[in-house]
Amino acid sequence: MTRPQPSIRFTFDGQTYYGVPGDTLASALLANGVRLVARSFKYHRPRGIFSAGSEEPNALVTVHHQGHPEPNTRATTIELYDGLKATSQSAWPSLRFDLMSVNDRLSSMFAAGFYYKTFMWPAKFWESLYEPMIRRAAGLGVLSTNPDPSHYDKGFLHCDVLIVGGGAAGLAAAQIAGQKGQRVILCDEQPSLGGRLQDEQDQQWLEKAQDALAGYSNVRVMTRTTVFGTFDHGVYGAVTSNTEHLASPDRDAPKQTLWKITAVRCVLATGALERPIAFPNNDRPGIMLAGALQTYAIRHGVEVGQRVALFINHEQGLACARALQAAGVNLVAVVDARDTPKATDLPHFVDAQVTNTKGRHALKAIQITASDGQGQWIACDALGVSGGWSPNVQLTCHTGAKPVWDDGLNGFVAKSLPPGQSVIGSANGQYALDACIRSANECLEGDLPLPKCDAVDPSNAVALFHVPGKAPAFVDFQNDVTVKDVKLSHQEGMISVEHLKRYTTLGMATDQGKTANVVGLAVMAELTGKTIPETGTTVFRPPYTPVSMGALAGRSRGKDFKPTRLTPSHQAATQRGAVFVEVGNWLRAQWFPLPSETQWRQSVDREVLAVRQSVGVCDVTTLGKIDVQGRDAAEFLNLVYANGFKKLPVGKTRYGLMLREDGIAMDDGTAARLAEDHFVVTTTTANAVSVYRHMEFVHQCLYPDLDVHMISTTEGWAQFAIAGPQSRTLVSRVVDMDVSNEAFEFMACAETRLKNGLRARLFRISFSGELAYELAVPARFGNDFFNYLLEVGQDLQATPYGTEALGVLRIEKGHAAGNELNGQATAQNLGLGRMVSDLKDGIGRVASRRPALIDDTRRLVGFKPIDPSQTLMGGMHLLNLNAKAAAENDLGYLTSAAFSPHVGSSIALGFLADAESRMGEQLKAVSPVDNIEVIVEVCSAHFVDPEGERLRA
Amino acid sequence: MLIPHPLLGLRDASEFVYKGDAQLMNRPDGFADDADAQMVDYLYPRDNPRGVHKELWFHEQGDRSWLVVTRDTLTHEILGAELANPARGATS
Amino acid sequence: MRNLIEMPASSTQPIVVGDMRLTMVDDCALVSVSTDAMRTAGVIELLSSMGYPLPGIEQNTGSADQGAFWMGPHQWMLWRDYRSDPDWAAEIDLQGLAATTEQTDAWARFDLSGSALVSVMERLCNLDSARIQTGLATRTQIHHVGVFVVVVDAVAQIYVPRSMADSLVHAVAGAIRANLAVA
Repeated sequence: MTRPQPSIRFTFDGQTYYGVPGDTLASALLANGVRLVARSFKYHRPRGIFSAGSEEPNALVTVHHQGHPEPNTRATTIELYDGLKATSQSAWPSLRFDLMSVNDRLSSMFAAGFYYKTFMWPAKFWESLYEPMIRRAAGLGVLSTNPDPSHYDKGFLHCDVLIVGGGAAGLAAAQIAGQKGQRVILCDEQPSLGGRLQDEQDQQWLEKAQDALAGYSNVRVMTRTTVFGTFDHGVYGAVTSNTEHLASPDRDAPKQTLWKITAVRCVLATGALERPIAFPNNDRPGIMLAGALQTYAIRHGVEVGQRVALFINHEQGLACARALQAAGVNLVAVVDARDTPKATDLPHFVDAQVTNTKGRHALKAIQITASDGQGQWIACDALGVSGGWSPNVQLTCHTGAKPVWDDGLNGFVAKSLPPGQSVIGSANGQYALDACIRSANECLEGDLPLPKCDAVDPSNAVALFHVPGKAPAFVDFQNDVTVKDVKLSHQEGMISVEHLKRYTTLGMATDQGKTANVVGLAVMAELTGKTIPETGTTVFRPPYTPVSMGALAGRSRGKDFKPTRLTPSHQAATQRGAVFVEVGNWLRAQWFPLPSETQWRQSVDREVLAVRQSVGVCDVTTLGKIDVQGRDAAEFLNLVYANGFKKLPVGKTRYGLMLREDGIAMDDGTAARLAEDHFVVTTTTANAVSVYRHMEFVHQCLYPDLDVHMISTTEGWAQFAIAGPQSRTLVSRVVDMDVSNEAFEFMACAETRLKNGLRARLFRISFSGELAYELAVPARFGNDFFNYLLEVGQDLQATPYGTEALGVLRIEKGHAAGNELNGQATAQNLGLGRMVSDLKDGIGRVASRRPALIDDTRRLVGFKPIDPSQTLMGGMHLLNLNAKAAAENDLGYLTSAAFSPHVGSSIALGFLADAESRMGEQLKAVSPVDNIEVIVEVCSAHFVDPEGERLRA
Repeated sequence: MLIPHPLLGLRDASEFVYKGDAQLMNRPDGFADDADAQMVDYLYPRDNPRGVHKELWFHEQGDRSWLVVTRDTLTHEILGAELANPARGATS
Repeated sequence: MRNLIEMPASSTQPIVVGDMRLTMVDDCALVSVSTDAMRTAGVIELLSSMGYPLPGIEQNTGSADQGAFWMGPHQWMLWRDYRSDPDWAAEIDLQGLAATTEQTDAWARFDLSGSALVSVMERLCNLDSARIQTGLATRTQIHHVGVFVVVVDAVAQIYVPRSMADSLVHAVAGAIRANLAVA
């Protein structure tokens, strides 16, 4: 056995060791003679390394990458790097002396279903006592509560052929598809290609295959990449580990990349997983899968033991024995369950089984019992077990297909496959090198030459899944499920595999039963006297191996969770010290505090009063703007709005209410007619996307014959509300047109120019109830235009205002907004019932006339507290003064509330039953959640200028 | 999931927004004598087939076409997709 | 009235890492043209005579300075260089055969180029890398931002809604750096 001079320093549980390049943590620990690496989940039994791959059930450790602990990582897949730090889990105070191992002595108590039986009563003890206790005693590693310091990335790949698995079959398939010029992606979870070929002495074919692949630019080889899921229509999920094997990774390098791969076809060359045999005390450190022994001995050059035994039930096991012997392993026994001629070149015990083992922290001896009952103990420190191979068909199952049992192969194979998927090589029960290549040739119509191989008949095997005996025989190592547990759950009436899984937890947790499921099913079959196919099948769901939440999130974390939309005046607002608020993806100025203002209300009240008394400027770009053109544009707006638009003259704007087809209000806004065949429609900020979508639906799906063209122009125009008694003066200073009341009356609109010649659009619309305009300029000039307006309006006390003042102003005026357009309100509720035109077939008209909606007497009205010092809140419910706060007494609720500097108290809008007849009445507004009750007076929703004189002035 | 867009070929479902049963295209005449009853039928009862279903998807992050997609709700197989407004597919 | 100062869509660029380069092209004027099946032929003829041959589905025709790309059925975007604030939609006379809408300020254009163009794009959007070739015009999503990707002479022009320009630059810069770091 050859192993270079150890040079890579690492620590395990604080102890320093050295490994060699190419080592996994598992191989390095074995090379250093470390056998005990974990304690088991329930019984805290000493456990060692069981496999050499991602199927590992036992050797879960916590790795500390850059100081951040990552629990439940398989020692068998961790690539060693200089400075690697790993610690054991679920043992206290130490691996060697684990106090919790008392559980092993009490194992009868922890048998299948023990949670259900033991911790039944009293119920209140569950949260306070049982659960914390169980969590401490049984469990895996501990998650850090700190944010993950690593970063992750995502990407998208497309190919003709995705090949999963870079072993013999996958390499053959990649060569064939590569030769044909197809776009190929070959993924393998391991750092190097070859799969189990890497565990052979003869590397000739592997080297040639890799050389051949290197010549194809159309073949993309992705190592350290696990394809973890099959999704609908040829979409696959994969994760590449970029930096986890590096001592000091580039800070810009994402730790992992999540790939969404869209493949025309997919060839699974995922190999096969070796199966253990459940025999008494089969879990001692030093007992592992026979193939793992071969990996450690040949691939890693590790001396796996001084006296090594094998326990097999099939012909290929003898090939493994010979490979080990050729590699210099001292084989002391090959225990073969078959009644077969004795191999003369091996210490072959035929028609025999391993019936017990010794050695608490490491294997010391095995008991071999022949079929005649004669037993003997043989000293050994490593035992390789092989109960056959299970084709790795997980990725065939993810969209619902179930594998079927093949008696000849003694394993499940894929029968029905997702469209576009094929399975080749060991994953399809075609095990030998030549069989793998042949299956690739057949699958992809290739003609790769077949190397000469020693024929191994996979059907030369006896079905052996467990060996009877008194001591616990583990079926599922990770969940500490024994043959006895399977028996017990059967006795207790668990008749299906699904029951078994849930009652015993067999097949759950990080390994998803890769080594356990088939054995568990076989034991269950034996107990029920049924065949394996009669007993059930094993179904797999994504992911194949655990995928970190970080990889799934990718870069969508924290501030990068979603894009940020900045308004045109964002920079100017920032310079003016604005406080920002997120409105959807937009960041909008909420208010603009002056240095003297210490509390937000001071700023908001000042901004509101400025609009009422002089003039304010607010960036309203975020409102959706949809350009609607075409001969039938007016006809189209007649359909999407409840009110009529056909008679709207050019140069005029109209308020529009959109209903859903079920008669509920959807959105509101304005439509300005710039020409006979050209409107600009505005939507609320929140509904900009959904209204545009709805309008496309109405056009394409309902009225395709209308000549209408729509496109969003939200981003193209920086639009500012200029509101207040001085707004006309300010607007007249910047636009190159007559804006007198006569020339440009209320609801007028115009395409115009600024005095400096810049394009502009002017609308005389008001959300605040004051004389007001909205003025739009090309977006790139918006920032400076905002500054300019405030500059030239300085003598008018022109004041920037934010969304908070905007909200107060519209509540004072009684304008509905998102709080009122809440998906429940009808036009009638909003006091806009008469707007719904019966002269045309507008969307929502018919349903809005339903009795249930018509009979609803709730209307949008205003509310003031009797005691001006009291505060109203949105969501408060309205009751008669003497009524109990109960649902049957409910009269309505408040939708929007604010402090009104104009009124001098808190005010609110809300929906109230029989509102007209309750004007001037006193009611109580209650919030049972906050235990608050406020006496309010019902009043008009128009706290400001109810006659609308100001906005027409 | 991939949706076979009749103009653009296979496109990832994440580019689309789902609306629902393609019956939504059959909006009743609001001025029919039994408009109320027709509207109730249009708005509320829905088949919920175990199998083939025609449904509306909007290619919002694409060419903004509404599609009628025929999908098997059991297998997720997509049997076809066409433009809700066939005129959008006409080249001249 | 003084002239107003233009605010660039993003001031966090250019991003230059190795030979990868992301640059804002602020001097790009845009207009969208929308017609229907009946009138398409006439629009194609008119625009072709103006120097804008209209491309087919998911295609573009043009150079860095001037061209047209397909946005959707019977709908195109034209681009040309921006001199002063244009009113291209009004200026272009399509004789009533199509609706035109000024889009100059609605979209910000960023040009991405360099030897790792394809692998950077793979980290940004679900676009088949084989399609990233001169002539392509497609709409896709980059980190939840809807964009047009238009490839002209091995340069990917990325058109992004103006308000999300900074988010786009941030996403592309991250992908460029990540790609270089794992390459």
